[in-house]
Amino acid sequence: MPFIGNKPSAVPLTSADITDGIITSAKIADGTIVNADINASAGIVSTKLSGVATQETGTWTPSWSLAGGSITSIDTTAYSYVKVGRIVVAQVQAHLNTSSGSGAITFTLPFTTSGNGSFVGTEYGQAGLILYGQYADNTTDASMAYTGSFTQNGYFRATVIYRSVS
Amino acid sequence: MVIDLIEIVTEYKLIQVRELINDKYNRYILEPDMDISNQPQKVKDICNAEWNEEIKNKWIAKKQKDLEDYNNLPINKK
Repeated sequence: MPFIGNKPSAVPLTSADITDGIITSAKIADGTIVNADINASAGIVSTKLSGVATQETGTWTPSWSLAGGSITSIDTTAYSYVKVGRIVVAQVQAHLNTSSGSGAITFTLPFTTSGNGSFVGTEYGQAGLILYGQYADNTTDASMAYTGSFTQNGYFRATVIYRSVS
Repeated sequence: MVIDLIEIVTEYKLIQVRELINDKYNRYILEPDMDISNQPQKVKDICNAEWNEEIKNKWIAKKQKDLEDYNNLPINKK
């Protein structure tokens, strides 16, 4: 009987005997691929791994506002976030130069919130104050304030941990 | 800088923008009542497609309600 297909050059078969790109998932027996089969440099993105939370790190560009005054300039800024699954840890630092000031300071977050929550912030450069912060459900803003008069030109820091909508 | 991801989230059509700058991510969010005149055309097009008057008014009403709730919290009345 004549040989059908590509005649193997040797037995057992070598990689050269198999046409590129023809081995499909159906030809691999379930449960046979093990950890050693995956190259350490494969770099499989987490979105392709079912059940594994995606992770992202970066910076963001918040918008700032002051309820009872105006912000003339902002410097000494540092904005970074880590998001694992739907959990976001956002760290914010800024020196707000204000022409006047009172009430809540509000800044936008890197991701939309899911659920109401609270956090603590500080004014670390002038009066050394603890600020209480809050954010609403389904929004992009976090606000922080403290009892008493607002210190102009404050240096603010806060870490906001929250759940995002997606 | 390259905009590598634009997400439209929630019933308020908030636009989450992710940029890729020197292989690092930077994000920001656009709300329906924001000025988008300085945004890249690609972002403007999406905002304009998603934000009709109904969405804008709904968002403004929500923000107003959130502010009232915030101001009515006992801790904010001290």
